[in-house]
Amino acid sequence: MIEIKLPKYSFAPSEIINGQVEWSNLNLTKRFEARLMWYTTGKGDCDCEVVDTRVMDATPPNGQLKFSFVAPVYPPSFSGKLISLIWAIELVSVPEGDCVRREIVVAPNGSEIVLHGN
Amino acid sequence: MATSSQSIRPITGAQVARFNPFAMQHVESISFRFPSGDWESQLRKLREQHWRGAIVGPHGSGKTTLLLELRQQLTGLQEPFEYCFLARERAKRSAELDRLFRMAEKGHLLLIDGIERLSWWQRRRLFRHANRRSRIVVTAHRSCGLPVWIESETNWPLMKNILLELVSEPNSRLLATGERLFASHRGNVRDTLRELYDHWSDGGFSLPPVSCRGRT
Repeated sequence: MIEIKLPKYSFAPSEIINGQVEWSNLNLTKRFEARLMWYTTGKGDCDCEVVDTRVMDATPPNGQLKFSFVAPVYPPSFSGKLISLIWAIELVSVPEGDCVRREIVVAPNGSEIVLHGN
Repeated sequence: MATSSQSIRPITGAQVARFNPFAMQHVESISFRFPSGDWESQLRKLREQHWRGAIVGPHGSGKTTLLLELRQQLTGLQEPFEYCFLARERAKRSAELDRLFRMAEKGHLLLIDGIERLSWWQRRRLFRHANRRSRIVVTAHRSCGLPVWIESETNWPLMKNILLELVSEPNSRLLATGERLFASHRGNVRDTLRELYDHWSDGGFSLPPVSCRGRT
């Protein structure tokens, strides 16, 4: 089992995102890759970008490791009727390729920007 | 003329794209439903056809979905293949064709989406390239000179099943709208889902965002 623990889920640009990976009963996992990424969802094709990565060794079957990222300034988390841009921290175990993801908000005041329409 | 404060309406949480169950990321996670059999039997059929076959069906019936799933199956089987979505522009198509001919010569299985974008002559050249042993699976709207592997068809029970996969507890309004749109789009699942996206984002179904079953 792999888990991402974050003290909070909303961040202002340039704020430090401190997190922790906790895992148990992983015998094959040699390392974790934590990714700070954004992706879009909506009516059109999905887009995504990994903006920062941390690689962590995970030799024992049970354990925990800390990681940190700096919240980017751009693009902010936003949502409208046609598209949402969602920031997330993704954790991938190597070599299995198992993946867990936690959505976060990166925007001024820590609140997702909501686009209004007609 | 209306002022901006008069013309702009706030949207509710349920209406935003991230909670729309008809968003592309959720739609793309829907698997192709075989008319009969399963992957094992369908791959057996394709082997018996010497890996030459066409997925034949109308617009929005799942041909591309099935070809992409075949690509995943072949990756699992460690079978060398080349996937190609044929461009509409002639110049790009020509370069793609040259590449495909080279791959066919190397013995790769070719997966080609949109074979009808090729001229009759280009198709003939591709199907007969190298020799008759070349392996090729294509999507087409009608018979195209290759044996049919799968005929993709749609009907309302299939469409309803897809709606139930996307929305855990669809209300009667959503189902009625889905059935009406499915009929007006003449069985085109893709176009029906795109229009349902708009209905959802306009708040037409009064369902909470938690009903969305999509992947995270």
